[in-house]
Amino acid sequence: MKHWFQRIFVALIVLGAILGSLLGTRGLKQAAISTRDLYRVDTAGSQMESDLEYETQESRRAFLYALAVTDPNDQLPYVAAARGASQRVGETLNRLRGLKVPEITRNVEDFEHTWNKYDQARDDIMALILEGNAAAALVVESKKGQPAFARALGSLHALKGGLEVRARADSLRVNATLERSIGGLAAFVLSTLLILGLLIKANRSRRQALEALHATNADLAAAKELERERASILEMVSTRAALSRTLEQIVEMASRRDQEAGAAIWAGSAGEAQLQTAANLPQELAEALKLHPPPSSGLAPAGLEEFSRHSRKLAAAFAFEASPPKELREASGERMGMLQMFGPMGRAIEWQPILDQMAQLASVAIENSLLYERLAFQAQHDTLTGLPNRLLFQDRVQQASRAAQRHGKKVAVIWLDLDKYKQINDTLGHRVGDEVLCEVARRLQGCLRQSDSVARVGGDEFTVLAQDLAQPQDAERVAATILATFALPFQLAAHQATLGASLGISIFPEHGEDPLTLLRNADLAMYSAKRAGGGTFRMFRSALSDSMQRRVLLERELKTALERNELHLEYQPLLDRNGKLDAVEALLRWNNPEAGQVSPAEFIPIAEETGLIPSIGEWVTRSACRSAARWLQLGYDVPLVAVNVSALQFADGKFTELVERILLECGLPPSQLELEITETALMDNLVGVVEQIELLRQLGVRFAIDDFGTGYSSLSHLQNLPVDCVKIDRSFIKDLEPGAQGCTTMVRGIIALAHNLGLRVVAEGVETAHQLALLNTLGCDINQGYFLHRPMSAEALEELLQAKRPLAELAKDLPESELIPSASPA
Amino acid sequence: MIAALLAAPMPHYAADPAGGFAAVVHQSNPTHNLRFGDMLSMFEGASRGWANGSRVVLVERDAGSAPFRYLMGHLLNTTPGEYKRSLQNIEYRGDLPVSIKVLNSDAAACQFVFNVPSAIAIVEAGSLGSRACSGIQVLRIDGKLPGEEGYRLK
Repeated sequence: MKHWFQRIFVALIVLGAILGSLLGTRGLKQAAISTRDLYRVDTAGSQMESDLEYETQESRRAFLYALAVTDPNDQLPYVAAARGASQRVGETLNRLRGLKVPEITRNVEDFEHTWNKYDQARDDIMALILEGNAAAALVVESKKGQPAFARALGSLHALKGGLEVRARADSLRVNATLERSIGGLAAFVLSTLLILGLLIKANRSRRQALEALHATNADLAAAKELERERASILEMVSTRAALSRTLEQIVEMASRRDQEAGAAIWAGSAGEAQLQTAANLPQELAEALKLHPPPSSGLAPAGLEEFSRHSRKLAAAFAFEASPPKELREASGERMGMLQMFGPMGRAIEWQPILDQMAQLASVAIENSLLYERLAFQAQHDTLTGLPNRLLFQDRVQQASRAAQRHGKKVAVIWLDLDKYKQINDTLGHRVGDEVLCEVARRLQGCLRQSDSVARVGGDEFTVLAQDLAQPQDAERVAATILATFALPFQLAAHQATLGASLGISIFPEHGEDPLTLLRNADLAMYSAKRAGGGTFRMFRSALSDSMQRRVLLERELKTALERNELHLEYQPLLDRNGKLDAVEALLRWNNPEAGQVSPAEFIPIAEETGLIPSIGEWVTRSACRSAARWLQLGYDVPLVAVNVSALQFADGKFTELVERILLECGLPPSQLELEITETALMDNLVGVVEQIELLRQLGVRFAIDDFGTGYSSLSHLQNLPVDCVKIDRSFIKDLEPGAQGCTTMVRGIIALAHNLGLRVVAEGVETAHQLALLNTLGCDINQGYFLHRPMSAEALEELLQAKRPLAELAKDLPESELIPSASPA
Repeated sequence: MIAALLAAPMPHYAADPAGGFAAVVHQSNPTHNLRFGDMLSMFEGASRGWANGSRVVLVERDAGSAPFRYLMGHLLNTTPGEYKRSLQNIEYRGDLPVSIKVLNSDAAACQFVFNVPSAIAIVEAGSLGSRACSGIQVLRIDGKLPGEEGYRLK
């Protein structure tokens, strides 16, 4: 808007200038014309009138001279002069007439007329004079000549008056036109001045704009250079150049901003800050600053004040002036460094912009360096205890092995596993468990030599590297020392408790030449100590069996099987005598990359021994219930889903709550869940288990005795067990072959007894048509086995259910040769 | 005037100029052609008026000049003394004196004739081309102008 107003203003001024110039020019032109007229007419006319006056007088004078003398030879010149003057009068009159001034035309004519009259009279008189008739001449002169001359003079005066009037009028006109033109000229001059002013202002603005542009260009160039330097420094940071070198670059960059300025940067936190770089400073001052670390980390201003005061004092000794110290802090507020600039004393340096720029870059560099150090530390250390982790430990074992090889020494790797740590963790919580681990770490570090190393390689597993051993027995002394540290009780929350440990030892080079072998063998030896009851150590022996190694492997792998999603369920249908689906049993499968497909018979006992069974059992129950609920929602007719449970799952007394919560979560009616428990488990903890079974049965959950007939219970106990179903162990069914009368009698007895107690009977491991037919003859209610269905995935079962094909038909279609017995489900 | 004319020394005259002489009068003089005898009569003082009645004023050159000698020797066939006495006789007879103006150059003579309407002068024909003689009338003598065949003033 302002821009448009300016344009309109300028346009008005220019218009005013044009109009003023036109008016002024016109006025000047008129004035010039009037002046020219004044000169041409009035001045020229006045001159001519003056000439006329002179010539008339001259003519008269010559005439009178001619009258005065007597000799014709003397008279004639005067006569000629008089006539010449008269002739000039005539010529002047002609010129005056040529001016064509109307106002004096009449005066000119009058004068000409009177002058001609006089001329005539004078010629007559001159003729008389020349004739020598002087008397007559005098008479004529007095009568005619003189009056005629007087009249001519009168006419001449009238002519002169006319010219004066005309001159005055012209003068007035010139004045008027000049006055008129002054206004126009004044407007023109004013407008011109304004335009000049605007031009000057515009020129000044343009110059200022150009200067600003030049300044901006300079700023841009400086900013570009700064950005390039910043990019270079950030590249150094990203490529993990040495921190001191990066900080030197930053200080050099600041020095380029002010060549006389130097700087010092300290990096490090919590009182560990060290001078990283001191550039562009006298060597002595840099050395002095090195001995002057910043105060310990914190926000207290007192320390900073003291530091600043001391810096200034140091700088002053070298005729330098110190800037206020600039703290470099992490995002968390923790100080990670300090920055200070120095410049020659007495020179006013604007510290703050340079300090801010340097601080920003230095913070990035130091924070990145610290972060990298932390990441590197975390990658190689245990976060809880701060001990090296397995990776770093392996590296140290490698280095120690090489050194031992060079010096002919031995190295021991000791694997330590806490006894009953899991119980502490489960009963007192993870926090207490973590405290125990930290205390163990401290005790291990405290009892070892400086050259030895301790690492935490698992939950409650530690490893120790003992170097520079002369013989294997030295390692046993180390192990004994370690065990001795466990003699003192541990403070667990409000209680004190003793904690044991099992240790396994492997020796380089006897038991392995690489870290992995040494660690594995130490682990095996530890397992051996654990099998021996714990609280002791064992040296690795090559006689340790492969089965033990597999056991160790499975135990280690099983701990993380759930996390790694290695467990899954398969379902095996249970059919009644009519081939109708009665239930599906959920069967746990474990597929481990190292151990391969592991049988439940192999890993379930390990899970029970290592205390993993509650978490695995919970996962199985939840997964099976979720599948059953899905089938229910899809409208499939799956009356029951059977899940195997371990007696250990009842140990904490919370199994009932767990099952109830899972059923609620999944939305499965309790009556559609059947829990299978082994006869042995029931017998071991009969009272506690039975109470929880009773509670669950009250909810509607069904129970079955699994593997019935293999345990030690007497048949008389069967009537006291709170179950709904008896599953005859596959070993009885396997023998149901023609001629095997004993087994048939046993099975018949179990079936009869169960039926008498009102229990359903399931035959497991039905693998042949003969077995099926015989079981049907014996009155077995439900059959389960490969002859009917192999275990299958949930998806395969869903397809089967979707086809609505009689489930028994599949089995009947199978040729006899394919009915191969395989590994039993859990 | 006559005395001054007569008292002037008489120079020895050279031969007549080849161009001859001319009789000149005022431009306004109505007489344009003059008989030779009438012209001599005017210079002798016998005829003293023009046709318009105005009195003849004789203009003669000074005594040593060619026109004067031509007048004396060829036209009037007399001497300056004789001529003087004949003019004085006219005054003695009681007649009006002959008006004679003696001028010392042809230019002055012409100028005089220019200013006096009744004047007649004899000047050298060669002087007629001068500026002084431009505004006057050259008389035909017996119908002839100077330079024409049969012109008698040569």
